[in-house]
Amino acid sequence: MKKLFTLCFFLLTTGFMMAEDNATFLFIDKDGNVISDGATVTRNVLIEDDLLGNFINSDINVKNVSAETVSVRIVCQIESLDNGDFQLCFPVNCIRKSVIETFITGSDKMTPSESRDLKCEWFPMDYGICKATLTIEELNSFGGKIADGPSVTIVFNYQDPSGIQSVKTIATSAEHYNLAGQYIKAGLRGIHVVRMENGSIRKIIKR
Amino acid sequence: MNVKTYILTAFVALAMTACSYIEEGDRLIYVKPAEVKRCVLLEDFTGQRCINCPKASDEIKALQEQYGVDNVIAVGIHSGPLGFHSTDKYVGLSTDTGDEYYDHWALDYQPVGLIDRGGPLEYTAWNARIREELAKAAPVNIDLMLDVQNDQLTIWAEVMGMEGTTTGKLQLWLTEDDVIAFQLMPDGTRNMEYVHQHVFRAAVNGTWGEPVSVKEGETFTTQRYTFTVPKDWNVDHLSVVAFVYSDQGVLQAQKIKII
Repeated sequence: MKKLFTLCFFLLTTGFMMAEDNATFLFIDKDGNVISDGATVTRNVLIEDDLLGNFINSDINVKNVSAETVSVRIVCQIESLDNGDFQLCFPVNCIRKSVIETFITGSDKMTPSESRDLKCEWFPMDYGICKATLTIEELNSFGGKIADGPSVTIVFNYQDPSGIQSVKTIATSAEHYNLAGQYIKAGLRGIHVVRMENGSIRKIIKR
Repeated sequence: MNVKTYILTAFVALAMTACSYIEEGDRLIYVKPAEVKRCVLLEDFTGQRCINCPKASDEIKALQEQYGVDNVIAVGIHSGPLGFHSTDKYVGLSTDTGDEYYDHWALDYQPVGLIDRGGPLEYTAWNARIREELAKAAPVNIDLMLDVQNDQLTIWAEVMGMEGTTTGKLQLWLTEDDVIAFQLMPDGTRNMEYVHQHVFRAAVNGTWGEPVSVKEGETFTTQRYTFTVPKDWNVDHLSVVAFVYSDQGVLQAQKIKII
């Protein structure tokens, strides 16, 4: 029984390692952790930026884990877009959409071990949800699809904690603190812990 | 013993002089020089908030080095959702006219280029199309004339028919080089002192130009357009770009520096 258990464990482990070995591209998060195929990730940290406007970043990269230089593109299906614009800047262009649709990005080669930011972001105009599923496609040198890579569903969630409707209203009526709990000016760059008028707490990155 | 030594030395020498493997991408491939029969207009629809747009700018520089800066006339049209209009705090290079062009051509992503007003192309495909366009005969030639008095420009052009009858429109644009303004970079950083080249500034004779019709051997002269250069533009860095276009695309282009 013990031998059988060991054998099963060995086969499972080997199978998992082989599956990883066979992958060409993977989605990884900003810390380098692999996002498993079919996973759903949620992002809800609003970044306020005076050049770009307010946006929520997916913080997801695509990494070529093979030993070859391979062409890649993304099939992106926007499933939900309550308001604002969805943006994807991978691998060669930036595509910005304000309606629900499915599109395919341009393609580009990625070298072995290269990791490239998707720059997949939602620029909300108001509270709501934006949801999109991204699937990697591996291409041959003529641009033809060789294989589907992993998929990831990204849910950008910008929720109203207080019932206040406007971003501006929130910004001017809230108290801003740094991570050490010290009071700071609202316009200061960095990570803000914001206490809303109704007492709820939010974390915001200001650039 | 001597024979063995010679043989051994020969083997060692052979081994040391064996061919090295050269990666496919590093091999030198002969490319026939492009035949230049006309100037090509490259409209680069770009944006300061577009992280991939500096890559297209680099490609333009490489193309102009390859084919000649006078043969590839590039215009950076800051526009669309990733363009940036000036605020009190930041210099923006987008214009309403640029946005109108972006919308007119129903463009969907940035950076994207129109080469002689063919279909939209990613910058990775520009080289091949430019090569094709350079080899096409131009049915017209354009001469540009300028009169500069301080910030007052007077611009006019002559279009000469070179083949058959050409009917289309003549467009006169102003572009500016060495404009310093912020730019998002491919590595995600923002360069607040980025030097933008061939920035579209204004359409001198209307957004879509003026009608022109010229037969072979004839010359069409435009009216004289006057333009007052805004104070935040640098006259020394301005150029006039002229091109004739029709339903067939851009037929010929020309560019001269103001100073």
